[in-house]
Amino acid sequence: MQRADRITGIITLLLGAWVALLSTDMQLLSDGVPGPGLLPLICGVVFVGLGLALLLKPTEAVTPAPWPKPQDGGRVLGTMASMAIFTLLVPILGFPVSAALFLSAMIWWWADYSPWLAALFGVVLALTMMLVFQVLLNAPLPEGLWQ
Amino acid sequence: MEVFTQLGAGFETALQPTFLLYALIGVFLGTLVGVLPGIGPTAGIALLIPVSTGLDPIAALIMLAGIYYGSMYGGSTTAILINTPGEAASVVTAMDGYQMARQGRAGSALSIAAIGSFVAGTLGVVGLMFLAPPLARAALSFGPPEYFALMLLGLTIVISLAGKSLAKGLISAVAGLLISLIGLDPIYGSPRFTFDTLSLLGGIDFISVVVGLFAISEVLMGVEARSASYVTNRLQGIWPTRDDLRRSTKPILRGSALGFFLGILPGSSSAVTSFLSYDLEKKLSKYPQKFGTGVIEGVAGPEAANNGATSGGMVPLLTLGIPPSAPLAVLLGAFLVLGVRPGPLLFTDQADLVWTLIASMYIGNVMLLVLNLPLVGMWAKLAKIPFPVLGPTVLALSVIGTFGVRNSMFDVWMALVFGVVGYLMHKVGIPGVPLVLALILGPMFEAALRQSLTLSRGSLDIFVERPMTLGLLILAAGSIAFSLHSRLKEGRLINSGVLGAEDV
Repeated sequence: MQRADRITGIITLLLGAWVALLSTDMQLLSDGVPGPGLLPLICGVVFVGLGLALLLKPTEAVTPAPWPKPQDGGRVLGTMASMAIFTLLVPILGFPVSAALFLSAMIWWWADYSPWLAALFGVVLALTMMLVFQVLLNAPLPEGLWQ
Repeated sequence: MEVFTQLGAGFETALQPTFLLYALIGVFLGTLVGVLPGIGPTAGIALLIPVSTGLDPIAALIMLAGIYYGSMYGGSTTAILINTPGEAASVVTAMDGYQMARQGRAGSALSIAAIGSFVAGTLGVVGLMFLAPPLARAALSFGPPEYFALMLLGLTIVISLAGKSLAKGLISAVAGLLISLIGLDPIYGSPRFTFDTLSLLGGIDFISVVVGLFAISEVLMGVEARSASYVTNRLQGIWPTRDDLRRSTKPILRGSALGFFLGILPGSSSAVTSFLSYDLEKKLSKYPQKFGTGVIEGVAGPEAANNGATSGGMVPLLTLGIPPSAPLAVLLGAFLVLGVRPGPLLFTDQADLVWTLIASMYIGNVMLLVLNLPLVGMWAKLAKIPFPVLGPTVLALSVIGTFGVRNSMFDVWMALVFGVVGYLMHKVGIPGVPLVLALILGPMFEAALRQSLTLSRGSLDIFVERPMTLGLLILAAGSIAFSLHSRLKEGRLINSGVLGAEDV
């Protein structure tokens, strides 16, 4: 946890310094009235201070969320990648088709169901979402190239 | 009295079939959100805000408010049945409620929790009805300096929301402020931190941030933990005994009052409210040593306090535009998206909307009692939905929710980014709620500060010359002191192992 805090402290410090630097390119004060750059500058400086605080005095308690083991971390990364692919496909294939593919793939991967059962779940869930949101609630859903 | 006349008008509107339907949808979805582990009221409200923009604003707010207080009912169901609180405020309910379930008394625990929630919610709405209008009238004389002090008061809440490490909580809050600054400067119109990107000119939408931080990151944590399905205790009968009802009456009344008044205060966390009620009942009990082994008072008082706080929290939200908790922060965002500005003018400019909302809360509490008592078996089954099915569903819903805000895939990508950020924040112990609070209050805070200093030509005296502003600044200082005191108390509870750091 202390190492994680130190890394967080360094990132916070660097981010704060960068924000403060960018802020100086904006107007800070004009006749005592704050310009666009003042609050970002203050936030940047506070960030630097907080980063230093964390760097010099990391939390002593054990984190309630330890870093994942490689196998578990792989699942998390895989999920992030799957979500990114889903988001890339939505404007191309439209939400219903992309969602059906995504849901089927994820359920099959996580639940160890047979491919056909996972596909059935995926299609039913995607169609239900389309019915509830697009048809009943009139919410916009990406239609992709079918538009 | 004028209050009763306005409430009557509110009931006249709220009892229309359309609004009754949306109240029912809201409390049903809220209970579902509360029952399902992995989706809290914050994420539930955030996911449905874009959908609600197509509805009438009154209907939308009735539905979203229903989700908020409905989730408090639902959270206790999983706390009692499977020792998995649906949200932080139900942590205490699990302590005795789960023990009662193991003794075959789950039905009693669930029904007393539902009855206590109903009584507290109803009494809380009565309190809201009488306190809110005079508070709103007092706030009518607010100018930019008063709004600045008010937003500062709201931002002091981050101290109590900071969790175990104040530094990390402040990092989260400052990050939220910085994110709120991305886009066009509200006064000069010049771009800030947009890096010549067209998509960033409109800023980062708070729905994307909230969905990412609370819904997507929660799924990632569930994936890591290989969450599967849950085992429930068998439910035998749902009605409480006469003895349970007798022993629950005073704890419910005490919890209702305690929860309501603490819920008003910016800086009071829902978990602490429930614990204070538990602590009070234990101190007043003839057999305190039995607390933790399945005592009905340990369920009745905290559940009432938890639901009393939901109505209490609506007082500063509606009258001052200050959300005292995370779900209310998102609900504030919903108000703004729907074109409704909570604050002193709400009770004068949109009196029909606010009184209809208050009336619908009375109706919603009745609906929740009906939904939760006979249908408790159904809710128990829903809690068993396997995570491998629920998790991907939440991810797909996140796309719907974030795309619907501005019809933009950029917002969906932002949600994904913040989902990863939220996961990493959880890993290093940085809480997400201060970020959301600062993201919402930040623009109003900056605008009020700059307008005030424009009025005073740069002189800071404007903040001490005006009595209301000075009073609010003193209140902000008091809120900081109260929040620090609450943190110390939470720290003692965490150190004793009763609360986990993630529960506050």
